[in-house]
Amino acid sequence: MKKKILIVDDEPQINRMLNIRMKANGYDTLSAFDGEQALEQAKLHHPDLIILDVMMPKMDGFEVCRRLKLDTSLKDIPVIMLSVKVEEGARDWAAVSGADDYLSKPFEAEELLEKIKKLLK
Amino acid sequence: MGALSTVNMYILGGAIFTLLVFVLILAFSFLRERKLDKMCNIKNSELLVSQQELQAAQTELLAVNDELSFAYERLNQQTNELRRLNQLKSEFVSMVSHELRTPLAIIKEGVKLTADGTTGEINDTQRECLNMAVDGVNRLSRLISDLLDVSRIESGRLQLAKKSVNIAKLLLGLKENYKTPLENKKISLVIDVKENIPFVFADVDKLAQIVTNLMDNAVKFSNENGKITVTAKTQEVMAVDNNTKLEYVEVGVSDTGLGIPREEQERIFEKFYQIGSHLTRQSGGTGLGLSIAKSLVEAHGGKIYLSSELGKGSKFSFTLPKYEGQKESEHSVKAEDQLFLEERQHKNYLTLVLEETIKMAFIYKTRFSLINIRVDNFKDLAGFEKEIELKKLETQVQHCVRRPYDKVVIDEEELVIVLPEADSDGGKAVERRILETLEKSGVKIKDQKIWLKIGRATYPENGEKPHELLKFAKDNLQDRPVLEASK
Repeated sequence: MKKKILIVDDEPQINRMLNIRMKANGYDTLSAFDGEQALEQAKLHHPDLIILDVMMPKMDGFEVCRRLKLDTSLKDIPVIMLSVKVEEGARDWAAVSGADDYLSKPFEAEELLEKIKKLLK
Repeated sequence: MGALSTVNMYILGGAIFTLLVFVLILAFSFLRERKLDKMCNIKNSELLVSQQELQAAQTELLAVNDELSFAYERLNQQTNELRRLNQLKSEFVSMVSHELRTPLAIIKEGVKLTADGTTGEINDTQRECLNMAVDGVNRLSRLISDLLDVSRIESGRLQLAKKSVNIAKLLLGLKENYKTPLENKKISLVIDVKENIPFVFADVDKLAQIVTNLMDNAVKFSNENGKITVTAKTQEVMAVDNNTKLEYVEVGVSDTGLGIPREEQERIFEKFYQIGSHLTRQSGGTGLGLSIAKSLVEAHGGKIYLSSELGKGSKFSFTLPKYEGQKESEHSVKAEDQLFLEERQHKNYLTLVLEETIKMAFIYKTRFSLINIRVDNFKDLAGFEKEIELKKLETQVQHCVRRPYDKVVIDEEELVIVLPEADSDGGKAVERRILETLEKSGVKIKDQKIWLKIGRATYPENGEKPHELLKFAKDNLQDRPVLEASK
């Protein structure tokens, strides 16, 4: 069965392209465009992995991740955080909020795919 | 009679003489007194003049004093203005780099999806064109990174997470990292580094950046079939103040490239300086790499050198202090901090974050919640000084205080106020107003657990790392009031 990946990014183009990339590599995809949607989608569909952008309106990625990891039914879903590498501490904050891995934008698709593969093992 | 008259004559003569002397003395002293008087008068008038002069001088001094305090005031204003502008600049740079990176990520991923055939077959020429576009995007993102680095360095916001670093391992890994560019230009790379070279005390990411900048240049300016040599050796330097020897590790990157003319060697570490404009386009650099490398080396307490001969090649070397058990920079959440976090989970903090921009306030809110401190209220606080803003602030504080139980008591809750600009006059006004408002609301500051944390100015792209905010929280939320009631 195909693994299901939830893609969370408020930039519609990035979201769409991540969808194309993931589908081309044999994954099923779901999309969310803000933090609240992400939590809803996660609860509803229980994806196998979540790709989570940091800077989003309303609720940012760190907060989404923290809430996911506090929820006993969701905390085992691996989360890869994607952040524009502006904030120096972003990697540390990703770790504190419980993210399983971290990648900065613009990212290399190969690197992202490798991280996904490792986490889905 | 005759004898008597002689005697009388003598007596009379003596008396007349005495009288004469007396008169003379009197006259003399009278004259002297008059002269003294006169002199006194002169002196007096002189003194009067001096006094007037003094008074004039004093008035002048007062005027100068006034002018000085006016100038001081103006300087103060200008300093504040400069500080504000500097912050604006930093925010601008961080905003711009964020805004630029996102579309770059979109372009890159879009082009790559097409170039690698994910979206359908393309021919070789098409692939070549698209790969060139990817290269262009990569160069742009490097430029943005460089600009951001320069901005950080210039504003003194460069942070080093120093620890012991195995520099030999890092240098030996270059062969793998540069495999493709070396093969493309048929350059041979010799890494002459002994495994037992001591560890250095450095920020591993910044060190990698220094080495990368030097290596990129070496590759860029090498001819085909050229040779790059990387060396590392220890170096002893006498400390300036005493007789102790300091040990450094010197890393050298030399190439057999074009070399740098003598007159350009001094300017090579300047920002945006590039050798010969004809090379610029060909080499495609930002002109910031060496300037950044220099700043990074110096931030570590090292030095960077260049020796070069035109037509023969160049050698860049830099030194870094050897690791000798220095205290490593903390950069992760430790076990005791973890315990602190868990304790916090059962407490209910009420945190009011006053920030100039809604974006920063938002960042604080999120960060605090990540270390288990709930932020119930935060506010966009623009223009501290304005009365209308202070009025709004009052309402905000009252609201914050009343919120949990609709009465003016903060029971199990603790109020934390973060006021980054409290050093400034505007900040002080806000601080005063908060205290007044709290007292008016009936909150006894001394008895209640209220902490007013002041004086933290920071920038979004240089946001605190978790351990820093944790330290802040620990310093301020543990059971000791930082601020007592002002009566």
